[in-house]
Amino acid sequence: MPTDQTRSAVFVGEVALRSPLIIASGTWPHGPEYWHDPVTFGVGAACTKALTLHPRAGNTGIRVWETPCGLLNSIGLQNPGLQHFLMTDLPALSAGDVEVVANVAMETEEETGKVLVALSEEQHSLAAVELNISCPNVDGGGMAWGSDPTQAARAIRIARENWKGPLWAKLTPQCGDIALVARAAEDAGADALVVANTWLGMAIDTRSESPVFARKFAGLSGPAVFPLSLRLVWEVSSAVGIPVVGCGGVSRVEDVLSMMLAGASAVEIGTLHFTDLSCFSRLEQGFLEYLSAKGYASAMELIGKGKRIIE
Amino acid sequence: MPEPDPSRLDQDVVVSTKVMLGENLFVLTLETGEIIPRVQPGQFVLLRTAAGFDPLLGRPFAISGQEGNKIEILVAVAGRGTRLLADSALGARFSLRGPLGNGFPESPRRRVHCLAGAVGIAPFLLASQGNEKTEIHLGVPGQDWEPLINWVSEKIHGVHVYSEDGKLGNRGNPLLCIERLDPGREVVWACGPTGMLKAVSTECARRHIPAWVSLETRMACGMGGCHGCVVQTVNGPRKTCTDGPVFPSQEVLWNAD
Repeated sequence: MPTDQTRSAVFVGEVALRSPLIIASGTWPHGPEYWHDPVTFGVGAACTKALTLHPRAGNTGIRVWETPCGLLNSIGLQNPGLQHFLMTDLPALSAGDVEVVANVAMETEEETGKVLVALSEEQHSLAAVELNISCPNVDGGGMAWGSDPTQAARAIRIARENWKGPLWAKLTPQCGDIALVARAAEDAGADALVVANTWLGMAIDTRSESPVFARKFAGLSGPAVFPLSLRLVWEVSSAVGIPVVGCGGVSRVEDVLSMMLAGASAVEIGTLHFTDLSCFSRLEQGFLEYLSAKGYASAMELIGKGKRIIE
Repeated sequence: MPEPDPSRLDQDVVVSTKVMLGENLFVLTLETGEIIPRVQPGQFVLLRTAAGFDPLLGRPFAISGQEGNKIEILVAVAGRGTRLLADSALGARFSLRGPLGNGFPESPRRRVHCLAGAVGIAPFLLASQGNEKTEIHLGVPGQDWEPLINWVSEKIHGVHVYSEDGKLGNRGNPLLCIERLDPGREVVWACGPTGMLKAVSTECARRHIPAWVSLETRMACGMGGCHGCVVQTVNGPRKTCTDGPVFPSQEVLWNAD
């Protein structure tokens, strides 16, 4: 009989996780007290806040805005920069009970290269690098790196040259055909694809009769986007041979199961824990009960199973 | 102040009493399952007002009282979330995160003048519990707020009341008291609308009175994870939830954004 521990374990490529639930980037405090059990019961890995070479102050003005079952955010990659991360955050986080995934914001080729070379020195502390290619390519006209296959491939190649460990590419929904971007990322050397980042939306404040956010548009997350993200997981996992990590609006056990049945090897969770820190242990418990009731020996058996008849 | 224990931040609470102080203002007593740590005046909770995901986020409320496993908050209806709270029945169950943030710093050798704008009185009710070195100055917009004044006055003796038209207490607002404060012996704590806090900051700077303000911003996680609630300060962007909500007034860049 498999134990709960072995039953819920998954692999994302060569990265072994005790649970398929991953804390999404930009949502979890870097305070070391948040990286230990029991707070992290049910968590397989946690992504750090997006890291940039130099400190970033983030965006001005309103940064979060609630929508029905959703949350718009415009944080602007606020972080204290690479040196602070290496000196202060990483030693504390890697001493915790969960795998650490370093989320790196794709900046210029030179900046990203420097960040990844420095992280390579600390590869023993990191389960993977998650490259956020939703950021604008300042040298290439300002479009997001992940908005088309050519740019995405270029970003992954730069990362691949400078980081030899597991490399996950976090795709953006804001692209033409995400299957093409996914294939380009795979061909360029990504080991896994995180599908996906937030959905670009906006809000107008009817009292001031103007956009809520200083940058006008903002990223939508939360339960509202789940069906959209699920569709992307299905499309991408049908298009590539590397593992896919689902991300976007997961809030129920059914959502975890759906993402995995659609082809995800693991799922990221962010907005949900803004109101419920026990969500990971609760979801893992429900997940295990499902596996047990259905007679699965391993969570891995679920991955892509939803496609068995259709494709 | 010790770091909060994250594994004990979230819990379910039950509405045990509700006292209406007008159509859109009320006091809720919430009973928690376990005794929460001693709350500092200025600390707050995030209260989720729905069992599902709409509204999605908790709403921040300063804690106005604490006794055993009960805490008290003062709620002014401002939108859909607070309307759901207003409509809740006794025994209703909500989820609560907290206590969160850093309260007002104790200054045992100085007399504390607490300047409150309407529901901004909440942290000062807690501050004045058993503390004779606090003096409360409460400003309200108009006569509709009389029930709040009566309720506060039952709890604290000698509250200085202000209203713009002078029909309740003194004519004007709590800032009037700053002129007569002694910079060497007295400090100001303030909680209320941003415009009032900015004015408090300006007046206290002019008179060299040390002042702390409790800020309110839009907020998501409340635990320093999302960086959604930052305020611009002379020390860079700082999080209202974990660096605040109480800041030295001179630290805040009032004209940023």
